[in-house]
Amino acid sequence: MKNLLSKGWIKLAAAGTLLLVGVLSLAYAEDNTQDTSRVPMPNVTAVRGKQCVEPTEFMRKNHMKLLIHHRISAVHHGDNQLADKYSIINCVNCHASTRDNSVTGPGDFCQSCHAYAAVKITCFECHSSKPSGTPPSFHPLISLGSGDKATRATMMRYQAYHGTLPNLQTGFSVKDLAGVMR
Amino acid sequence: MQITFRELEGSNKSFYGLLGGLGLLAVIGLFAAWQMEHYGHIITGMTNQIVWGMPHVFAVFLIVAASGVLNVASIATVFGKKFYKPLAPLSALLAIALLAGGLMVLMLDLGRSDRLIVAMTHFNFKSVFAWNVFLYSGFFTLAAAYIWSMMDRNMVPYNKTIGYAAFFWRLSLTTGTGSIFGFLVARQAYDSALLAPMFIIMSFSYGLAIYLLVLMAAYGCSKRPLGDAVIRRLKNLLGVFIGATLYFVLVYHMTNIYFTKQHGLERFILLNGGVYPLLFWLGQVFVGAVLPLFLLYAPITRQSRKAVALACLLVVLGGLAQMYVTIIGGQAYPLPLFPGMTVSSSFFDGVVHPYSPSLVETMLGIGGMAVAGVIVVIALRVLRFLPESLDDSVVDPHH
Amino acid sequence: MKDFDTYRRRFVTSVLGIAATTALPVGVMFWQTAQGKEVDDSPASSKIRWGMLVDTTKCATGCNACVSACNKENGISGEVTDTSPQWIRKVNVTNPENGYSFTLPMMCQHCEEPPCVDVCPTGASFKRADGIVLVDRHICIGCRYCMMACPYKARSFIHQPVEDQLAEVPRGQGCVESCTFCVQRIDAGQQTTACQDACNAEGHQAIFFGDLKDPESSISKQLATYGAKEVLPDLNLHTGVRYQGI
Repeated sequence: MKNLLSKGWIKLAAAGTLLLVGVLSLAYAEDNTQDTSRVPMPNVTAVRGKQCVEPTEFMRKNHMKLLIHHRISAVHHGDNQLADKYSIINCVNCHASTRDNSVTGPGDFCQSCHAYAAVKITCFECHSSKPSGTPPSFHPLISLGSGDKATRATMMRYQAYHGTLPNLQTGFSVKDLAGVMR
Repeated sequence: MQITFRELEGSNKSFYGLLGGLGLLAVIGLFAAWQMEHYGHIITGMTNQIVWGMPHVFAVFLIVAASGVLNVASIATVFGKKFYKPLAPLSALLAIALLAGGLMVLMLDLGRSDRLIVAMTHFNFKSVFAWNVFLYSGFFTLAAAYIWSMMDRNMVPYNKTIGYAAFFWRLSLTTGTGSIFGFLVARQAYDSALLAPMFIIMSFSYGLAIYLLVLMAAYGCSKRPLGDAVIRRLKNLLGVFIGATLYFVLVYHMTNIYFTKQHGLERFILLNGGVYPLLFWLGQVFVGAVLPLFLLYAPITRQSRKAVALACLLVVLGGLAQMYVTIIGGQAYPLPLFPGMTVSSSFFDGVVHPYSPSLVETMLGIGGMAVAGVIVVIALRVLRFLPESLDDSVVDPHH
Repeated sequence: MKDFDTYRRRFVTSVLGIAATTALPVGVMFWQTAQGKEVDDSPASSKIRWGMLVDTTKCATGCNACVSACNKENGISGEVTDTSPQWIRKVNVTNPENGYSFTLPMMCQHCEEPPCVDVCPTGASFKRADGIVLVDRHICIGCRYCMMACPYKARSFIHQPVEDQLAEVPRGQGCVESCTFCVQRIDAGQQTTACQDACNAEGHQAIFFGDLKDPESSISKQLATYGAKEVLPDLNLHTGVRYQGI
């Protein structure tokens, strides 16, 4: 035993293990306060609309990719920010909370998930965190009822083919779908 | 005769005192950077008219000096002067330290310092700044390799190759730094091919002055012998570089005075621009060139080490004055939107742009110098950069 | 014979080594080019070049309608301090010899060869296919080199945090900005700028805006009839903003 302890690296390993065990136990210790989680669970609310433009799980994993791609198309290719359903303006329009009219206040949509995941967002240093005007009424998931997957794909193909989304107030005819449906 | 290198010894008290002092200045500089990042550049004196201020004066000075201080090593390796060989490791160390300090100031002054990764991954290859990202990082690598090839016996065969590479690399680097200004067609004070070679010769001058100061300080503090032969050769070389810098400054201004369209600018910088003529004549020319040349060559003073040290310090101060006149004076003079006409607007067109440096940005600049100092102090103490003795009998006077 | 073999082996190895080392950046470059395929049907295309014509003979001294309109359209405070952004400003020009004077609005000239684009280290300052020179604020690191490079002093730096920015015009601390030719309007299909609308509303009709490549546009017709000059023409920047009467 004495021989073992005399080796320097054994001492170092023992100290390291103790430190690790100590830190982990502090991290996972139950505290006896009312609120069992230290950071509040994210508060996913939308003020307008029944559904997001994409399913929640898709958005959770991919909203950053959509934003990265969209910022190139908006800034460099001149896409109309207001008509694009992935535009950050339209995200804010639906998701801004009614309490403080923002997505970055404490407990608000963007802020709560990002605080929980400990990922800093710098978007709203430049982008407005407050809604502007009313969101466009083109959300196909709201206006059209069943078959969301097919509808969404159709809408996207329509947009790619015609350059804009169809006007759902006036409706669209089968002629408009020519070339879109394959 | 074999020259042995040893870590710098000396009392712990003075070492920790010096380190503590420099460290405090560095921490104050970092605090200043944090304030600027948090509150925005509104707390500095930089405006939409004077966009680059005190931080850039210090940063560009440090970067220029960093490239020049490697000259001592290049003279040994590239030009084959054996006399300079024991002086080479310190030269390479100072190059790394000064560049690190300068870059730190530059990067912390960015409007969005958090986007440094963006600067490392998105490049516009027409921009001198983009080239500089590669030139500066490559310089660190080459200087480190240079030190390795000087200190490790197995690497000594590569010393010459690395020395040549470092020599040409730093000429490119300083050309790049001078071209930051030289490529700008917008400002009357820049827009000149002369700026690149002028920066190169200035780098030789500032670098050698700093080298000599650090050498004399290190040997003085540790009571190691530093012979007159080393001091004499270095000081004579410094005199040559100061003279060459003065020549470039002369040609630059004479050419500008020859062009009628530049008369307004020259009158501003040389005669009636307020702080700028003062800094030019008193700072850059008198303190930075005339007085040091006198101290280095006049019979009454040229033997005195104190005079040499003072001359080096004056060169450094003159260099900072030169940077201020170039960088800030060049921005203070209004842009010629309608040449020959009197112009006025709400955006301060047609008028001299005032600039009063704030404490925050000056502390950031000084913090950069302090960081360079911290690196040097620690490295000298911990690694074998300095020869045990540079006495006349030890160094080879027959190069 | 053995020496020659060794020599050959070394030679081939070093050549392959050099080839592999150079192939890496070249390969990355090709891969990047393939990834960044230009979308042909993107709305901003080089078939258009947006330009502006200012008739200084109609521009009224003391009138600031274009400036106020630009501030309102883009969410700028309108303050006039040395650190506040000004995307457009009225410049008064006087000939000191004879007192002849005129006034004009000065903004980003949307040059065809912009010096600000040349010097930007990250490529944030860029010229769009339709000629509008913009700052991509996602990539701008705030080094202000473009501000040093602009011969028209058109760019402004945001020196403090911005609250209450407009949703269509994101602006924030630490980036550089300048006149965008109301790009948010253009991308939404509108073909006039705020300054142009304000000038027309005031009755001066001094500002024309349109497609320089379309010979039928009002700006092209005006240019063909009356001609125009650029500010600082000797710099050969081929600006998108031209002036009559300077």
